[in-house]
Amino acid sequence: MGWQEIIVGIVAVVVAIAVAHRVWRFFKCGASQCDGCSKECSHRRNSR
Amino acid sequence: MRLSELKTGESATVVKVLGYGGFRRRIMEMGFVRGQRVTVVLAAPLKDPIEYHIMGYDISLRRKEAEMVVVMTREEAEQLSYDDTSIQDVDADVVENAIKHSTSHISVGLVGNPNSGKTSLFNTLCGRSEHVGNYSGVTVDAKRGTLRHKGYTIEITDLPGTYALSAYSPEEVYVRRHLVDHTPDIIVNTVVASNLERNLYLTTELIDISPNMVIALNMYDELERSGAKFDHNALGEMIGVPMIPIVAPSGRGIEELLDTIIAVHENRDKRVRHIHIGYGSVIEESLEPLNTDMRQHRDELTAHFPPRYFALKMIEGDKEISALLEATPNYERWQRMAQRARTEIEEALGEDVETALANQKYGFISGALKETYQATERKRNTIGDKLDAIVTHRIWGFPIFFILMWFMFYCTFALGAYPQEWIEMGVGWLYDTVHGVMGEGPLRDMLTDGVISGVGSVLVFLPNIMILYLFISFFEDSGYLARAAFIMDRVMHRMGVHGKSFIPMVMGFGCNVPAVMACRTIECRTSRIITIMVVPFMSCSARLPIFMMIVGTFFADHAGTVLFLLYLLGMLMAVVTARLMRRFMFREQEAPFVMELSPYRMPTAKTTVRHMWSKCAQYLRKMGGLILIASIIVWMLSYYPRPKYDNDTPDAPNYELSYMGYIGKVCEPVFEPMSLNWQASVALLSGIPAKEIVVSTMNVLYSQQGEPINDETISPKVSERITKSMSLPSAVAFLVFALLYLPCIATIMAIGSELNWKWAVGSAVYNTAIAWVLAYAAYLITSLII
Repeated sequence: MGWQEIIVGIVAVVVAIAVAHRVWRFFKCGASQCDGCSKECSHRRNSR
Repeated sequence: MRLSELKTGESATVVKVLGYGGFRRRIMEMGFVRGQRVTVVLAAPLKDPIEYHIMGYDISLRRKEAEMVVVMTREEAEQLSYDDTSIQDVDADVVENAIKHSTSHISVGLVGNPNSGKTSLFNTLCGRSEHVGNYSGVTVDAKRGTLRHKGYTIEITDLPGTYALSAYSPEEVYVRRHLVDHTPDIIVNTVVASNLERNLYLTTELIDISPNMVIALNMYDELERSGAKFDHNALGEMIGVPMIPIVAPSGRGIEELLDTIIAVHENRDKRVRHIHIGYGSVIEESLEPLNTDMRQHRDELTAHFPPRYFALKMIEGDKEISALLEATPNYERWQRMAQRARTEIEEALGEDVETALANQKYGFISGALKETYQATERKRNTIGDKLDAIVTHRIWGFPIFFILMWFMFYCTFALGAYPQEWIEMGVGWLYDTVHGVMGEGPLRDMLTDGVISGVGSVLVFLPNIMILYLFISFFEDSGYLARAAFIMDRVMHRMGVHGKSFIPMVMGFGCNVPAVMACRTIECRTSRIITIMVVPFMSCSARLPIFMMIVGTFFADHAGTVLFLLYLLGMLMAVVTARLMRRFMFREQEAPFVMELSPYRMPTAKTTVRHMWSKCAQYLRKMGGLILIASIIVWMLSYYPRPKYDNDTPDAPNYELSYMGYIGKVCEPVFEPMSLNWQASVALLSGIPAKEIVVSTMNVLYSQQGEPINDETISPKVSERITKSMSLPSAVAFLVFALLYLPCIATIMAIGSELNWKWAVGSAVYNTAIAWVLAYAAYLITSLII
């Protein structure tokens, strides 16, 4: 395996983590911009 | 008494919680509701916070919070029952009786401009004969009186007349202190009906403070005599405050006023809602950081006013409010933030903060009155009035608007074409350089075909977006956009949305993402949801290359007409969807709201450019990250698994064997009824991250091995191949599907962020389902015709 394959592999892992993180957040509470489930969370209030 | 006044070991019963919105709700969630027994457990060494025992558990409150809870001790209750024999009930607990009695007590603060007839109203209500006069400043301190009405004891406090609630004059300070210290249950704002514009200025300040308000439209007979037409119910609904016409000396309307006070107190009046006065993009943007920071430290603020009010007053440099907040730990930082905001506003608008805020408030009032008030004769003196007479004219308004919109789009595409070409050249140069410098391998392919091509294809649209925003910022800052929304109001109402929805829909032709974000300006939640859901039907500029490719191939002679019909179909679907949503999902009557008509202002170059840039930077930040990741994923799916290199054509991409090819084959049955092959399926699928990728994917998939690949244009040979593999009905179906199917990921994320993920997924599913049905219908119809 050449060095280019290794870097592409690392990029694939980083992208997978980024996607998984967003999916995790989505299933956690459905808010796209999580602020730690504070009382001020716009999703919690479901209105702006 | 207040909860904070209780000593360690003492007990009392909760009567009510004062204060506002979030704070009040939180305290009540903790169990501090009427009738609950609360005991002081202990106070911290510095007497703050204090620990209380309520509903079987211990809870600590800051002294400031405890000050907002009204309680009653047994001693107080006994004293009260001794004083007032009407509440004595031997069978019931003395405290219960006293609380019941106190909840049938409403405290009302009478607030209004000098000489607006407060004292006259006070006298009529309380049967008193306090001194009244037709000049300002008759009342110099508060007077109290009580009356009984429908089982309630209403305590009225007549406050000195004031034009605003700043800290300039002693009256203003006095009134505001009274509202803070005594927290009346209801504010009755007396407004002179024949001088609405000036009187409603104070109303805009009161709206910021409390939602529990009733407006007494005093001297209503004068307004009627003048022949002016005024829909006070509509205005009341717009600003979320009931308006009752009265004539104080004759007693006309007093009964209704008292009934309304009770209805508002009992939360029965549906007109009551808390609105925010919009201060325009410049002030709102400068206000936001301080407002957000104060919201995060809400516990440090006194609970009498909402954080937004404190933020506004700090920016205004209100000394009273500064003194109130001086002891808070974050005061220094808030001061710095307020100073920064002040400087930003003054630099951007070229006027001091007080003037800017006053202008915006008068803009709000002007917008509200334009929709509800018609004077007998209107003086047209100012340039703004003359301009308004032209741009909101019932005949000329529409042509002027359409010409300006056409000019905006023309410049967006015509002027944007030059820098777009330069960026394309730059991206091409970068592609060639990286391709040339790096050795052969997957990393090079990922950087060139994935990152540079993917991100580059989005970057090329930046100039168009900048120009579009330049125009939108100019229209917005000059005050024209508000007028455009105003004249489109009736058309939009027929769709089931508000006039303000028109602006995001127009922006949707440029890019759906900022259009979805622009829906924030729509106060009504249902209108906002409907508008956000129909914005994806406005064909964005990223879909244009797809149409150009297919229309250019199949309908070269009638390209313009077909393009126009496609855009029309998108708009038609938006109208149908909006009407369906209003009919079946949001049946409730839409709450009317004010479209602010701020005074015309020539925007400075600095402000316009700053606005434009802030929106473009947001676009770049959001899209850059997303497009980068999506491009890499699309590239990986179309690159792997790598079959063994064929010796004859080592560089040839074998998409059919890649994961993308596999996915295309899986999706093929979905498009089979329309006779679309797997390449078309993959191209449509690749458009999910960004619609422009559809063109490059088709270009790649229809290119033959060894041929140069051009991402943005289509070579005649590719065109020939598309014609061979796709029939005319299939091409029509492809166009209809590309027009209507789910918006790009960025738009879906924007919908998720503005509403929630259920709506985002709903939008994607609904759009795709509609797209498939209509595409199939288009295929069948075209097949029958030809």
